[in-house]
Amino acid sequence: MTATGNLLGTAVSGLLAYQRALAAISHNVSNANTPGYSRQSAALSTQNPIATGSGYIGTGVSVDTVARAYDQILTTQLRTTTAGQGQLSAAYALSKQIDNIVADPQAGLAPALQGFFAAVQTAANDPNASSARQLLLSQAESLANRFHYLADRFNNLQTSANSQVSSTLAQANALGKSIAQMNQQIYDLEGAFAGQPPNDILDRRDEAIRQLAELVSVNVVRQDNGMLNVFIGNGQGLVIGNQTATLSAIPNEFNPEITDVGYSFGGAAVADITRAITGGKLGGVIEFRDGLLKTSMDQLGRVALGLSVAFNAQHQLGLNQSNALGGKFFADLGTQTAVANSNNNAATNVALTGTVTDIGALQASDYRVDFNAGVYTVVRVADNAVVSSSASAAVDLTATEGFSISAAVITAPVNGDSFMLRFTAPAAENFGVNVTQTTQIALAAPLRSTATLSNVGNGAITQGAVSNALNLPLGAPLTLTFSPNALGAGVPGFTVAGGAYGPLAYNPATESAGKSFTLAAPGPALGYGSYTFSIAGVPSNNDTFTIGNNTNAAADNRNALKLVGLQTKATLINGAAGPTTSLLGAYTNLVAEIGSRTHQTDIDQQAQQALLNQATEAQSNIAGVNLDEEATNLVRFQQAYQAAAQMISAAKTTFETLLSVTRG
Amino acid sequence: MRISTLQMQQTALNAMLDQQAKLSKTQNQVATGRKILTPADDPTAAAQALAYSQQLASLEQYQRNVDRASSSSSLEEATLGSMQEQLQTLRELAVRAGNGALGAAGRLSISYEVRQLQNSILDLANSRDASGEYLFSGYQSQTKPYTAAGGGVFTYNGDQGQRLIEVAPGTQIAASDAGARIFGALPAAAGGLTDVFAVIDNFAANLESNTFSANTVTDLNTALTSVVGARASSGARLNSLDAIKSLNSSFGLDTQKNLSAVQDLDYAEATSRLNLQLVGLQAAQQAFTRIQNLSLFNFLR
Repeated sequence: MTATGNLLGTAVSGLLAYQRALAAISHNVSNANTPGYSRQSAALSTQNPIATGSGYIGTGVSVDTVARAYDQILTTQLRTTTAGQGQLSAAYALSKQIDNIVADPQAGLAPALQGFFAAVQTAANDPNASSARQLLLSQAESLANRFHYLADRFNNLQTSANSQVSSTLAQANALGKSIAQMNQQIYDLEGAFAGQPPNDILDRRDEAIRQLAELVSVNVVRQDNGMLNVFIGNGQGLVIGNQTATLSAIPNEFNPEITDVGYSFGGAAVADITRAITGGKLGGVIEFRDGLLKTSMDQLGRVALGLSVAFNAQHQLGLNQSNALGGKFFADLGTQTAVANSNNNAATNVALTGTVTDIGALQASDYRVDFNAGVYTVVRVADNAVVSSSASAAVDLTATEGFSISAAVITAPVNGDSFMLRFTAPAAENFGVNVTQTTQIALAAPLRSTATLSNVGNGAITQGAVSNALNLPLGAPLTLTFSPNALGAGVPGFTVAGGAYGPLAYNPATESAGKSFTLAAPGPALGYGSYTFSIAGVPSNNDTFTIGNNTNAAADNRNALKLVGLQTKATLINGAAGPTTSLLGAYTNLVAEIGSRTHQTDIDQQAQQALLNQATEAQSNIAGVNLDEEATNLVRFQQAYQAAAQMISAAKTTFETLLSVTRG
Repeated sequence: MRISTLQMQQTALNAMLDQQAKLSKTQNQVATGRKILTPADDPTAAAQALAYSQQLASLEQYQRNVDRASSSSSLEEATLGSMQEQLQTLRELAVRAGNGALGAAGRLSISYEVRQLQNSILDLANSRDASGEYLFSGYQSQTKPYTAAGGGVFTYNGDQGQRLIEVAPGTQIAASDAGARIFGALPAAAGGLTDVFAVIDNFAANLESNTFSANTVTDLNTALTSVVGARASSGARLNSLDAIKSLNSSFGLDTQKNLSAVQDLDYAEATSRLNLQLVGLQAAQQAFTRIQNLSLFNFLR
């Protein structure tokens, strides 16, 4: 090899190398705005020198490879923060909607509740006015409509969350497929060109995984052959080499209105992995749907249930305009049948019926009954607490949970069978008014007291309160007769005729300011309802009071006043000393909880957005295209290219000089 | 440090989007006049606002209840007032009838007037309110309280129920009195118990047979005392209803103030915030356009 030939070869190597380098710059500039693109650069190195007697002489430049700017750690960080942001922004977008539902003070439950109780008060003011009674009925209907409206809005949100789950699963499947295809393609291309990296496809695969991370948290494991395995949930492989699993929208095993996430790989049976899903839009939607939305439905339902149970109970202690005890004013929501798991053993036939027995103790949650090894375990779903374990399916949980379960076991369950009991969740949408006639509204009390007009003393008896309507109306009035020796010589009081009650001690000398009595039902078999009244003053011997049925009491509003009291009475959420929260208080708590959880999600989401921005920036600082940098490189390589071309011209001149010498 | 061109634009865009979001919220607040647009803005204040609104609505209902109780009580007070005047007339007649110089004809002529007043008092005891319900029959407001049973006996058909109306949280005030408590169970001068109508009937019957019992004056006095007492108590109820009404309304004003404090927007603060945010957005936009123009490619000719 001559020196001149070497000169030309070296110059040509420069031309070729700088062409490649310029091509890379052109590619970078073209893709400056391509998502997921990593800038590429030609890696230049010297060619092997030629050994001569006068030493090693360089032979020019070559391009080893075209490399992409890439940082494994930053890419992984970007994926993780993307999944976090996907989750929080999806949860926030949905929380914001529920926040908006309760935002309008006029559209929420509060005004309807207030309107209803105002109508009860109006009816209490004029218990015989059919206009007031009609108003009460129509306000009860509007209250029911408001419950339905809110339940509908919540249900719509649930439907929208379900369809987001379905569409997200479809997108995840498509991304999984394209990642698997790119795995194969990268494997083929790397094999075909001696391990040279197909940068653009690597970028596209990374970008597809990043898009997948927007949908669900992923864990990526690199194989030796260059393929990436992608895992979701707690280790379910979505992409294994060039194979993909199928994610499908499946109905929840207890509630077909809930869309769960089904997972199947290679034709295996579909498994429900909903509870394992974290991160991404899917994680956010599920977190919202099964978290805040579920709680909101349960808590709203508990207000509906609490109102219907408490109002019905008091209404049934009253007397209506037909002189009959009041019926159920609202539809009975306190009795619910458990739903069997759709995966239960086909032969299992167990009917579980739950009945709310203490509205104060009832929690805003579903309850699952699991059967295993002969034991029925009752689990409070909201916090996964085991509240009872028993060999019998029938349990009384009144004290702790406010309900009891009765069971009819026709065919015993097998291990793993389960059932779901729901009291609060469906209550708002099932809330309804039972009473249709104004005359059926029980505003009066069933009993009244009368001081006999011919009494000589000034003893007085109050109109009492009925707290138990068992066996009312009375068959005959009760007569209380005062005697200075009613309870033995010198012990004054009243003997009671007409019922199975002992004498009542009353000492006019010390108790004339008033003493309260309760004629309570001694026992269900022979007893009457409980009637509490008080007696004051100084009755004379043989003065009598009677307690009789309160027939035709058009102007009596005693029961109406008790019903009015339910507006502010604490009926829900037991504390150490009984219920702590009124109906409106429980709704206010719900609004506050929705507000604060939405607020918290917003803050988390903003913090996560900042993290994502940082991760994006860090990754993009390495991999992104800077046009000024490309411009500088363009100038640099262009000059180098021109210089190499100049070298060819110089080599030519040198060669011609040599030729002209020999031509002589 | 190198920054990618795309990222630089993205950062500028994010800054503008942030400013716009803040601006939009402030604009919404100014448009609605509300500090809390959704409970998420301030969960505690939103819960308080709900409680205050409910309190206000309750107070409105309580004021209606007060009006209802007042109208019942003033009707009762007026009815008892008329009855009081007629009983006073009767007492004067009784005093006149006690004059020994009065002959049979004189007594008979007084008896006409007594019968007249007896009917009138009976009508008053059987008064009904605007919706046709009897005032003095206790719970039995559809039943006429007093009917003549013949032989100068008048039966009370009502009961001893007394209707209460809730006029403030936990405060109930009576809106009726049972007739038996006002007109009946009066201790008779001759011993035992009697009622207003029996006293008057006895008075008239005596006059008609040209006799007169000195007990009549005593019994009429007892009846008058009972009616005056009942009238005074309905008058006292009216006074306390007035007091409760003004208490309720000042409580309402306080509640309104509290509600306003938690939910109403401070316009001065919001307007200055709006201006600040406008400046911020403009600055972000200007910075973006200035930076956009800078590119080395512009100088490569």
